[in-house]
Amino acid sequence: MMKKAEVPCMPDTTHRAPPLCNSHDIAVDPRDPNVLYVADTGNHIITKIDRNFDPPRLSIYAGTKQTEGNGDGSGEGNATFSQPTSITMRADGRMYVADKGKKSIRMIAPDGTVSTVKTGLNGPFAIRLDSNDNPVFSEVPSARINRLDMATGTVSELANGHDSNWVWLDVDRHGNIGPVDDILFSSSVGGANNAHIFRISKDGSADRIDEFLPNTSVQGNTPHGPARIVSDPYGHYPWVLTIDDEQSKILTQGYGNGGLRLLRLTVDGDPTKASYNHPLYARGKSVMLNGSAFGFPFDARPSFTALRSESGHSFLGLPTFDELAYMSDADLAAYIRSGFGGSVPRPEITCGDMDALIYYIRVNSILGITTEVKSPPSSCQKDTIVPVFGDISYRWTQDGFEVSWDTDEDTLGFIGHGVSANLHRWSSIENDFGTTHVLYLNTLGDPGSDLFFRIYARDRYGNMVESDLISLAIEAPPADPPASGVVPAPAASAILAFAALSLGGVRHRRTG
Amino acid sequence: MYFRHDASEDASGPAVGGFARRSRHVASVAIATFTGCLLAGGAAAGPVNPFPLNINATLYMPYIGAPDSGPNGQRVGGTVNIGAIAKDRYGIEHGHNNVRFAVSIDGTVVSPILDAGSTYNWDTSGVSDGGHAIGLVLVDGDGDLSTYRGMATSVFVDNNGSAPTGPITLPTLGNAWGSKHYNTVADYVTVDPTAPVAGATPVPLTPVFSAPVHQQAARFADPFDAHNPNNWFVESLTQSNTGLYTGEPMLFLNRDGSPVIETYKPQLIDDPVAVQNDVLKQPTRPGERNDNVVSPYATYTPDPTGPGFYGVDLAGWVYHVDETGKITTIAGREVIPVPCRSTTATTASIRECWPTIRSGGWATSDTPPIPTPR
Repeated sequence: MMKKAEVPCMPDTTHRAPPLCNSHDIAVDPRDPNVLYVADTGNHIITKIDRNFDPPRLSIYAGTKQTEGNGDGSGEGNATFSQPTSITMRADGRMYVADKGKKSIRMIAPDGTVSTVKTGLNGPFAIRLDSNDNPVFSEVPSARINRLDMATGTVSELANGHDSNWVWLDVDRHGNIGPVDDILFSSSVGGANNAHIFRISKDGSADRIDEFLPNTSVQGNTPHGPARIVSDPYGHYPWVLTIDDEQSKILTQGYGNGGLRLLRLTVDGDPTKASYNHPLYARGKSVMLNGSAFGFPFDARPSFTALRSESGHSFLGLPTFDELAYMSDADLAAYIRSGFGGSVPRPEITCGDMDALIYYIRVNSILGITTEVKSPPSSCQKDTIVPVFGDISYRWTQDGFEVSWDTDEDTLGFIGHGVSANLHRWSSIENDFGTTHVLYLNTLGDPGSDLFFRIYARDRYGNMVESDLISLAIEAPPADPPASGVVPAPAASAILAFAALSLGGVRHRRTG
Repeated sequence: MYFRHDASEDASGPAVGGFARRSRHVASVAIATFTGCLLAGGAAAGPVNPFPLNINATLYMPYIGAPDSGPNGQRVGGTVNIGAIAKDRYGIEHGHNNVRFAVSIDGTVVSPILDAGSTYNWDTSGVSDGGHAIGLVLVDGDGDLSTYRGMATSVFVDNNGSAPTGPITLPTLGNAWGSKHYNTVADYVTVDPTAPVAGATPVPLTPVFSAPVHQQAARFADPFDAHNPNNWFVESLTQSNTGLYTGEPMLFLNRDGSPVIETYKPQLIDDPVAVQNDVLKQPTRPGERNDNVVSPYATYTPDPTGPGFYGVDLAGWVYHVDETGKITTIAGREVIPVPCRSTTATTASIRECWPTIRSGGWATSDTPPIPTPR
């Protein structure tokens, strides 16, 4: 009995072609590589894409659109599927379909006639052919791996794993990875930390079921490198793997990992180390994320990830990591310091921070795949002398709460402040290094409430210092402009009116 | 001291930087809902915002949590009325004693401190046509809603009703509404809509991907040596947009160089119909390696004519992956049809982001495109 799909796929709002819906699998016609087929799961059909036409012509190859059923035969209204999730085609044009909804294996003859090969299964999900053209398929949620012997019509269980709603597999029918007809599969069991690819022999012998590649702790943003080191190469939640038809390569992709990872046998010249273990990597990632010096507050600067994501995209037309990686150290440092393509200079990124960010960029580029990225030679002299505060003063002005201080060497800093000793706001970061400093705080609380603040300063070599914690009651700014020469030019962001504030002001001076 | 916004990282975040780490204050009421509106209004010249806009985000103090909706990408003009109200986790609206706010434009505070529920009129004639960032800075108040951060969104100002000429600025704000990793401080990229996309063409890729890797039998006497992880290498064939959860720029450039404003695309949604229709709203984008975005919800089959693969994602996007990581659309849906507003500077028009049917059509469709035999 046919049943109309309860949840229609993409409404045909444009009165044009409804797109493929919830499409789970794709296959190439071995007889004509310009013809593709898609398991159009949500539409309960197999869609044919004929690239011999321009634009490619899409048509229903088998099944009845948005109509569930188990009908055999040919033509719309007769042949029906129920959530066909996976397809595979023999060289002679016979296609096998994992008809998950009806728990059966279906076959589509070269003339388009649909028949039912096997019923009463648990839930066929991913289907591929072994070297003898016998379908090997996974089932969900039982997570079984089975082989259907087409000569006898019997189903052999090769493996039985934990329940899972997603088990994808491929068969090494050419022996590109190991023995012919080994089966590689992955399962969503284990959640985000499961990056396993499992291998099972063609006969499913228990002693050969093993973990093809291990899962270790997550390290990299876009991992690449020796597989024994690189972790989480398949994305957390393994989704799909596909064995190449000619070479020793496995394409993988997983939930939460938008990139495609290609596993291949090593070749001469491959980097032997994974760069993610380098201490510069984590530091560089932090600088990338914060858009500022390591340890400076998040959100004090625009994140560099807003310019390029974490992996160096060019959505905004900026050079990608693949391009930046080949710039000289000096040119790349200058580019980063000038804003990394954005409008906000980052003078505070110096020395070790700059080295780390450059390292991060290169590791996450094609350069990091082809070579072992070396940490750039730092142009900074080693200096571990922490700067020292001189006078610190502050007062209320029409332009906000003014804080000024001196340091004994060139530093660049900011002010952390809050309504308690737990400082959770911060000022803007100074624009350049120097020994005399002035910053303003705005959008503070009401007069009478508490203000706590502390000054943070960093020299060119990354040595940082913080002042004592200072606390006082918020006061109102003077109603009239202060005496000439007392208040420096207001900061650009000091437009906010202190509507509730009134006359008053104190001036404290203390040494940090 | 190490500053973070993400409360969830308090327990596990590293103590880094030159300062000793210190626990951070979190207000006693940790979640508030902050709702604001951008409304058409005012008598200023030029087009006004044609649609009411609603900011409706859940604010997880001390950072901004997942959004319900946002006005990113809205074209505005004339006087824009910006308002905000504050709700607690129970949806109860609070007055100014709990939350007040100020409005910032492009990172600069332009309004006085306003009571929750009141509004501020932003005269867009004071800024150039192009992308701008509106921020709502939450102001410390009394009671248990002490906040210190704001939220921001990107809009496209168009006071002339025509395409801007010459370079324009685009805020780089990501989905600051929902991200714990993307901050709210405004940065800009200056682009020329008429110029080719700089950097759109990556440097020539090294042949690492095209180097044939032969069957294991050619290398290992024992075929099981191929199962030794020491003998395998992992390549990032395509760089992912790892901001799948954390976002991407709201504004980006089309391949022709025209800027596009899009809304945030939440990955996870609860509505089953929406799941069917939007397939988790994954953004997708063809292009060179490091310039494409491929939905992780996809499956593949080898291309028998070469070293690449064909792929299809759950949203019906059919594409080809070559050995350099380049993604080429073949058929189906190219752009996930998020309910977004998209404005191109070259057309200065607003259009809904309906699915793009890249090529082909149903043979059974009422009005199928007529394919041309090759």
